[in-house]
Amino acid sequence: MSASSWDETIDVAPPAVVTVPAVRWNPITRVLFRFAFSYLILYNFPFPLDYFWPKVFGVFGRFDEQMWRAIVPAVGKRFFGLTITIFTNGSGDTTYDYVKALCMLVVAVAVTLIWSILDRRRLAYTRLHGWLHVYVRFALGAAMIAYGAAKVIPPTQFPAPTIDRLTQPFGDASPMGLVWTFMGASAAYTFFTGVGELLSGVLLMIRRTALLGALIGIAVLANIVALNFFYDVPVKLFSSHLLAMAVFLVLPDTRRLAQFFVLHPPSQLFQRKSRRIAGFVLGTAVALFIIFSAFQQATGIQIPRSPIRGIWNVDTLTVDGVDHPPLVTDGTRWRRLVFDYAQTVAFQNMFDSRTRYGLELSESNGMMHLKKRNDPKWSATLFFKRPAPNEIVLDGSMDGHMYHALLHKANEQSFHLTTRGFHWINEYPYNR
Amino acid sequence: MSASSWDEAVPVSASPAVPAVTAARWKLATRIAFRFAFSYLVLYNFPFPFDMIRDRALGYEAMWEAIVKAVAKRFFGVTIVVAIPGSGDTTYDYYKVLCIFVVACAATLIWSILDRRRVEYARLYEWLRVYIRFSLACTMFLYGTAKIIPAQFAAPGLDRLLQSFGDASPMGLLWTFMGASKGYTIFTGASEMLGGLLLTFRRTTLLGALITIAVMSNVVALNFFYDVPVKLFSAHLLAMAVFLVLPDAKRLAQTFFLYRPAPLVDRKWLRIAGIVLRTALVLLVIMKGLQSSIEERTYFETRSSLRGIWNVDTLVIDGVNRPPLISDDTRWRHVVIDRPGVIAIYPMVGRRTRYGLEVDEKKGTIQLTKGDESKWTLTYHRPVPATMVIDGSFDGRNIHATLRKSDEDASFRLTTRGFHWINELPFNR
Repeated sequence: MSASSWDETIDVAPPAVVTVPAVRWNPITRVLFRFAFSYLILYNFPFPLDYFWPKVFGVFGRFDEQMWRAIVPAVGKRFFGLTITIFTNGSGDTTYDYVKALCMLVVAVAVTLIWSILDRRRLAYTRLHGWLHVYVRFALGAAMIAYGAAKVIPPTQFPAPTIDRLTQPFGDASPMGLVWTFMGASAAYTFFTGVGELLSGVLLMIRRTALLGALIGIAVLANIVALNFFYDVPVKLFSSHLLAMAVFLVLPDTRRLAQFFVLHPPSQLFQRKSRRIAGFVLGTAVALFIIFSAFQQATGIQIPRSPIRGIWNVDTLTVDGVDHPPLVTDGTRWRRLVFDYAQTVAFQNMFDSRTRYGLELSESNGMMHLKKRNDPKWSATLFFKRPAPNEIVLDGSMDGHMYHALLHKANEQSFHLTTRGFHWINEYPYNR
Repeated sequence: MSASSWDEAVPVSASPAVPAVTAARWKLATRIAFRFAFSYLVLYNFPFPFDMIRDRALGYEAMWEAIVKAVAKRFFGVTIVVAIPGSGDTTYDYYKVLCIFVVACAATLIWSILDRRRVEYARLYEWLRVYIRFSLACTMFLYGTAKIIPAQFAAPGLDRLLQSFGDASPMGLLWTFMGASKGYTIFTGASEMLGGLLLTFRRTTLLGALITIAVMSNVVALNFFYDVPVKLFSAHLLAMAVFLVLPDAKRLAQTFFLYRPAPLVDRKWLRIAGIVLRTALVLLVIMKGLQSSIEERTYFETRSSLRGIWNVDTLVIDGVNRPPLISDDTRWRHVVIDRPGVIAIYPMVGRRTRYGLEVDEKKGTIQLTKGDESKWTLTYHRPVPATMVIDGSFDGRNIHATLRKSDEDASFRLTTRGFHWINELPFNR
């Protein structure tokens, strides 16, 4: 869809002229327009009827849904051997949704083909494009406002974490659950993101500010799409469609925007050309130097992992000669030691609260030195033995007590948060 | 600092043939505002770019440390200890900003007196823009690269994965959230890099500044709402990006607010109908959103009468007392109830299980359900509000449990930390 051809037709029209000048679109643009029109209408139908008088117009929505629910499983069965019984639920990325999007694509292509043959004499769709533009603006605007409203009135999309959630370990959360808790933890931040969505939605609905609304929409939606893809939130298809719609709305103004942002000559610091070139070279060199040293600095921060990385359960613990059985009521007893990054170790007690220490571990000397970050004077040294690969024996004094501990490495736990991975298809949201 | 006056002074010339900065007369207020902006921004950003070569370059930071300590002692009676780097919102940082502000005001005053005959600063202003562009770009590169090579947010370590959400501070939650996805972290880093990169070219400065505004307003919001002590610095960066956009404010308004696209319908009544329809739609969408929000809100805000984290003090299963040993994986550890309708049972080790819950206060019974098929009814009574005794048959076994309400929920870091202007140290737990 070449931007320039859109521009010629729409942008040139001076504000006062109501009749659209007769222009010629290039044939590819015409075909692309027919496709965009068919697909976007199919995708967004029955908007806006679903908002007005649901008792009467609701019939369209129900018809639309029933139709797809008949077509999609049949297509899935016939062409892909899929048995589809789960329909869009909290997840918008079910198998049904993918096959439905594919069906719409095929229907839109077929419509484009027939339309292109029957209507081959038409040179432009200026007016129809104008109407499509209005339709998409409002469909997108309504979605943005609906999302925004759910965030501005806390706490509905992201409720504050319950005490059950607060008791749960991080590893038990799924990536999607982590996003929900993260957002829910701050009503103010949720409000902030909601305001961005509302702003975009309202600007989209006003003709004059629609371009700005679409640009803000692109910024906001790009972030949402990234969240959905990277945190396993099954709204990938829908949010990508919204982003594509926002881009569609900006297309006719591409040239204006390029003119405005890039082609427009900036004010110059130097009159002489030689100086300007020197300035450009110097600026580029400085930028490259900064980027290079920033990368170098960032690489330097990489922290190595511990050679004994793992969760080590404290099977037996003797403090000053007294054996401490693993009772959850004994807050002074160690429950486990966790080694992950090489220079720290976390001691978790029976109440599950943890203390972290700076760690210097030398297996060959059989010594483990501990330090506290906030108390430079504090230190402890424990003798470290590893009779078997999954067994550690610690001996030594710490905080004035003599410890003797036998540790066993726990089986690598499958944490939801780190093992969930990426899923194109979610039959149900995996929000744990 | 009125945007329009900037515009008059530094017209980002409309005709490409005149590349030079035009020397028009600036308004008095604009001149004074410029002198202040220049003094403040240079004082704030210096020793950039020398700090790229060496940390604490030219003794500049050491100078401020001496000044700030003296000022705080003399005028506010505050003794300031310059903390180890980490927090950018220490008492020192706030006093430093105050000192820079006062010095900038003084510089503006003296400059305005000595240089009162000058009518414009077009050229100096262009140099200041170059300086700010590069200083801002440099920071964006530093932030961006630390995300593209995931160094700022490490993947959550094993001990973090074992820690409870309530143990995390708001800042810690943000760190774990970012660390959990390399892909998302790279995405945010890439947008910071893009902003910085566009800032380094004169032609794309405006676009770069706008992208930086979008990115930085999100960062500022995160810093304020998740207790990240980079509030002062990130707010300054945002202000610098806004400063770079100022000369184009009028152009932006013209393009995005005042531009009138050709109307689609020519008849007046049709246009009026359009406005009515649009207003109706906006109102309907908002109303529908609010309506469902309010319904859900009522649900989310309802609490069970048994709400609490209940530690299982004693548990007798089929007549056998089970001491609270961590090694007993069939023993309950806590029972947690928050919203009505759900109860979570935590075993000694491993994941909790959630059941549907129905409380009948009159009969003194609770009914637990799992799916459609399993249903257990147990009796409960509360001799004192902080104790609950549960009796009955559950999952094929006879249970007698004494639960004591923990006060842990009053001390969760995540929910109790709150907002802090000053952080002497980052509270990243």
